[in-house]
Amino acid sequence: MYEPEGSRFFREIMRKMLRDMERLERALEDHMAELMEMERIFEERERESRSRRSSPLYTVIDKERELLLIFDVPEVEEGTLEITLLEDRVIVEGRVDKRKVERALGRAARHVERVRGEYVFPFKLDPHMAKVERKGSKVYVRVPKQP
Amino acid sequence: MEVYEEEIGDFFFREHSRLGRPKFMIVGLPDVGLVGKIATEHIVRSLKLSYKAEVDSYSLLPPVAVARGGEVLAPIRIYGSGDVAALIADIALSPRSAVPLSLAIVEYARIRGIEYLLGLTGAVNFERAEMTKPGVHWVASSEEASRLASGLPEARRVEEGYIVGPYAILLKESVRRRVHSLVLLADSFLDIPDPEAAVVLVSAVSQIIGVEIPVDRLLEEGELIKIRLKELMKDQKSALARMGKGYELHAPLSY
Repeated sequence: MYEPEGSRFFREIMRKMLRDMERLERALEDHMAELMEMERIFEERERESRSRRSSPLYTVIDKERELLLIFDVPEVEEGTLEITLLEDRVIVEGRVDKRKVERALGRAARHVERVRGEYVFPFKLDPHMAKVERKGSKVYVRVPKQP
Repeated sequence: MEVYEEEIGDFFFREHSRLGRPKFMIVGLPDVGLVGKIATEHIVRSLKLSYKAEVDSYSLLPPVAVARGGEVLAPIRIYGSGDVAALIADIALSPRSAVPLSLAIVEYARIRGIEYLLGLTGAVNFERAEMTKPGVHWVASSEEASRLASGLPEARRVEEGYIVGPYAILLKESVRRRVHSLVLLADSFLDIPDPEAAVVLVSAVSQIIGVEIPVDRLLEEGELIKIRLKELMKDQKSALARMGKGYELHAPLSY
């Protein structure tokens, strides 16, 4: 079917405009997600500063027969670390070694008194079956998976 | 004072003192286990590299200035001396900034006639907890770059898998622009700073550039480094997830 040159040109421009708008929409969505994430981090830090308690870094490794949780607590004072294993969670808590933190961060260090981390397991467990081990600044919690 | 300035995309590179024409530029961006950042900072300190240039973007990076010793610094900086330059970043890189930054680094290396880019980073290894010495793996953008790795008998070439994040872009763009880039990856924890993994990368870089870099201090100060980098790790962890790091975990690198 015959289509005038002008109409083809117009349709091409419209298509390009739609593509550009979709691209812009995606960029805006990414930007919004980034802003929301920054806000979340800000609120979390504010909450931690107010409560003088910070959360430790941790990683979860899903192994064939067990779940391995590693908490890293280099700022916790020797001998103050408590690990509590419950049916559905593990809680790691300790007092901050202020001298060590000040050595690392100088005067910029936040006034945090305690470190407290909690991980909720995706299943119920028998706390006696879990193995806890401390190596350097890391706490390894090995939990056998349910059959 | 004459200042050399280059604008690449949304980033500007402003040299405050002459960078010269270094043979190697080490790139230590925050990524898995902050391994590259820890290793590169150690190299800067050990080789007493001096501050040469700032890298910044007012549209892609958060409005951050680093105050150190009465000086105002950009959050991304280049240090250098003789044949070696090193780029480090003090802030987490969002997916929106990681891609243009990697593109800009490759283009800057090309314009400045830097012979090799040495990217340092971590590779998530779920057996990391059981390892006493993490392994080193490598990916090169060219035959010439891969020759650098031939002097590393313990390092293995990555045969298959996904690399996600700033180093993926650095490698792809290096291929396109014919820049010789070698990315070294050490087995690492994903979201816990890993100074032990940084040690193996420092040793590898030391062999490549032919300069001895002691690592004792890095091992001794491991815990202090981790305290210092805890918050950056939290920021970067969330960025890694948004960058699609899940692909890397889904199909881990094989060597």
